[in-house]
Amino acid sequence: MNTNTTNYINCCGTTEATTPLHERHAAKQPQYYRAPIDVHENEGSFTIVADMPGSTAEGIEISVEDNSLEITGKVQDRYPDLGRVLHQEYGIGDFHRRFRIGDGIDVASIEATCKNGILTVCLPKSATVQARTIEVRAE
Amino acid sequence: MNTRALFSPATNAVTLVRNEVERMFDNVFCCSNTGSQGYPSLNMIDDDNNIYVEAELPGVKMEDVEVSVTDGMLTVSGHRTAVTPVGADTLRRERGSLEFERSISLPANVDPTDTRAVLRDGVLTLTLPKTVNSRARQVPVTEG
Repeated sequence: MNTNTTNYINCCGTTEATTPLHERHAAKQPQYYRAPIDVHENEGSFTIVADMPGSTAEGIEISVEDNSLEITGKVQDRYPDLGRVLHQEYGIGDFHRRFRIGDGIDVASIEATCKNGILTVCLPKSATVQARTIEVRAE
Repeated sequence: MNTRALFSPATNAVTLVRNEVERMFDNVFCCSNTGSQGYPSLNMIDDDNNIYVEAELPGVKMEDVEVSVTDGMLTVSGHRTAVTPVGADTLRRERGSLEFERSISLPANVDPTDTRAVLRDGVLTLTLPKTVNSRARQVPVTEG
């Protein structure tokens, strides 16, 4: 298997929250949280796994433009129906990550599932990339 | 000293430095959405009848979470195993496996036998009913 395929997907800059929690809440969280991710590769595809607690399949947006893949997970504010906040260690807001992808991805065949707050995106390699690995059989 | 001085913003050097350091750490930790308190971060909300404690636990199964209330302390513990698909190489890992335990003191007496836990979309929500004595109550004021 050729090792060049690892270049077909790279994480690049993400829009990150940079203000303290209390200020972010006062401003209704205009920023995104940076979802932690894992990236796996096998012969036929890349898989991105992202922690997006509070997101459901309906709230996930995945877009590909030029060589940029963006994933956004909308998160509903869960507290308005509850009472007053006594103690807060994390904020609630939407998740986002952006990746740079090469021509080796079959963009039309990208699939995603969301379960238990985890988004899994499968990016199949295009046929031309897979064809570069030529199996040689002994005769 | 007049009473206004007691509530005015900090002006002595030690307090100012401490405030500055706290602000600095706010900035360091806010981006990962995980504070310095340990994992998982907890939020606590209450109303007249219940205390709600919430934690983000993406990918954690309900059977792998343990919740206990002892002497006014709530403890949430559990684990998550990061899975690498069969036959795949991991190019980047930011999530990883987790083994966690967190304790937090509850601000009111609760009935531990009636605690409810819901894990939905990777968010754990605990509902802890306040004991009757801890509930908010109106104190009638009568003219003397």
